[in-house]
Amino acid sequence: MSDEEDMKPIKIAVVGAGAIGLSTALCIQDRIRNCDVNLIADKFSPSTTSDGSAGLWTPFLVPEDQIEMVTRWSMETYTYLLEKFRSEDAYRYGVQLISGFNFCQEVKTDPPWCKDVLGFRRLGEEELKLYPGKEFGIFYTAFTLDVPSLLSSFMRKFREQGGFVISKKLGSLQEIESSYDIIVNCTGIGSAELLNDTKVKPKRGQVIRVRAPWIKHFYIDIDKNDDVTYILPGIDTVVLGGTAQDGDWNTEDDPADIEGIMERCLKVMPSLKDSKRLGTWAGLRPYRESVRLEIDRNTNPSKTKIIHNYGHAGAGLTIFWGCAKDAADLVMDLVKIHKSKM
Amino acid sequence: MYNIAVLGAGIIGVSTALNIQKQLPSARVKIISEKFGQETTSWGAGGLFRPTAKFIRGVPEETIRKWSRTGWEFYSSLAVSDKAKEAGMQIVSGYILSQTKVENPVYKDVVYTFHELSRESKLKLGFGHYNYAYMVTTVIATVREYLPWLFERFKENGGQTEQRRIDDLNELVGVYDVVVNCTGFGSRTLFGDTSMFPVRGHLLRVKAPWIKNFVFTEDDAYLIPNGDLLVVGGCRQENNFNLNIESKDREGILERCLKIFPALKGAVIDHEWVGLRPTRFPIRIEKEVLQLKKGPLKVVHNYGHGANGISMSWGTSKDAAELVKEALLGSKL
Repeated sequence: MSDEEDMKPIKIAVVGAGAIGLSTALCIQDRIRNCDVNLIADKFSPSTTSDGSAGLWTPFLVPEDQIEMVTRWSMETYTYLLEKFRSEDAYRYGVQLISGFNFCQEVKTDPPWCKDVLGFRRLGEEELKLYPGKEFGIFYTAFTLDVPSLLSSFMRKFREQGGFVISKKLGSLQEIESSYDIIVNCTGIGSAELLNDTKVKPKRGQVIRVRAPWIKHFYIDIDKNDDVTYILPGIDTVVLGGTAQDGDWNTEDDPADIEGIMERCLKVMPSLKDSKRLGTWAGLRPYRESVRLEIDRNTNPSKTKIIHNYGHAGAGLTIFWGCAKDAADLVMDLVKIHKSKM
Repeated sequence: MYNIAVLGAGIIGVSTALNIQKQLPSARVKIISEKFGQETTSWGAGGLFRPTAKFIRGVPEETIRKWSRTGWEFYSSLAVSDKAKEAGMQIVSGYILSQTKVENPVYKDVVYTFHELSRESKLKLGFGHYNYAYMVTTVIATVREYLPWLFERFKENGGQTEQRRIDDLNELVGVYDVVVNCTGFGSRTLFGDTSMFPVRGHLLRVKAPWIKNFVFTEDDAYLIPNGDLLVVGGCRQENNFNLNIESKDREGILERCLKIFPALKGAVIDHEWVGLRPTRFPIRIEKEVLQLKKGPLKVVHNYGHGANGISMSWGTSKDAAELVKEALLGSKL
């Protein structure tokens, strides 16, 4: 093995430029010395799934067997966001500290992250009286992200650190194998087609964006029909939602959904009658039975290595940084193996 | 039918006028003032509800608690109603930072939450240079929406207004059954109350919509969300009558606030404002009969609220309205 080969940068492709792809690309640049990272995607901010989301940090509806991992990823992301908010970069990265209410119909146990987030408490009886029909609620401090600002800052940093961007729609990962040592797949809902992964299914979410600057908290409510209602103030706009329609690929707005959302949100917050509607959007949360964050075992050991980081469901903006760090760790593992073989 | 004049159209004047209409629905109430709306001292106030007994000197704590509760019931009911936007009332969570322990403040009885942050939380939020930090969920009035809203309610109830400067109280003798003095700082000249003094304040209003919390210290550094703008302040200069904006005050405010809350970086200044807090110890709420040249004049005073004008407005106005009723119908025995 020659010294020259040792000095050649590892060629890494990150596929997908949403929150997962960009954060993964950055973490790889931080973690791996001497690498060339190319970001390949067909959609970029502000057109990714991440961009349309409300950018709320909240671990939500997590299956039992993933609680530990999701909690860890969530808290790593929380710590990262808190650090950003405390700095002068808060507005450039679109990070907003915000507290709020999360209601449900029946008394529940405190979530596993309750001790780690700021300002967590159960709502008292007096407070619950303000929200008729709600039996239980928690209050905590979290974040809503202006995702276009976040991704714009991520992109800037990625390029400053020598990253290269390629706009391209891939039919398969094999198309680019010959050009890279490692490929990290962050294609979210795109993995369904790209990998023929039948486990990836959309959970459609309809939202309305309004201007309502007097609203300074978030409100999340799951009622007895399992309807989700949420009022999520972002930096300049408030996102009203929502729906959670399994297996629904429709990204067109649905007037019935929109009407239902408005009705439910008005019940929680009557002053929304004075909100100004700015637009509507329907996005596809990339659901999978669990997040797939692993080295692909099916590829030929002598060929390009593939790492997967997709299937974050509705928790993308809650766990992205923790997942990106883990993905970068996996890349590091592969780099060590690659080096030891040379 | 009683003719009542309320002098002054700031938050105290308008709130008092409304409370009088409530207590005496058949009375004719007229607000007479030189200044209205954006010309009033109230217009620029930050509107944060956190009445603090130690700054309302000379008033028994029991009374402060009563005013606090009366005000809270009114403001919070607006804040959760469908009128939150039009009335400019919003529920806001935030942080109160102090070097000394905040023991059982008056507002603790009423606000949605008041609790001390653990040392860990305090550090995580970057408030390590303060010994104590408290998270509070309270209400904030955006005065430039709240005051006009109150004014509309007053007019809807048949209230009249007159834009006029009163220099001689004799003009009002025989015309009004009771005159209610809500002239704030004007009481110094109009009623010769030289115990009143100004505490000059400077506020900036900035665009920083990513800041959804208030942050309040006693060190002339605070952030108060006001609708789509953020109030950044302040200063407290006693006996300073200067209404001009001084750039060194602005620089001081920005420096102090950025130090406590670096996230403020990127904020764009929308406008600045200087006001004189009309301070008196104690706040004067009482009735008297003035013997003037032209004859006797029944007067009810409601002025001197200093730094607590907005938060104490509804509670003190209710008391003042009751005094008006007493002055007209005779005292309760």
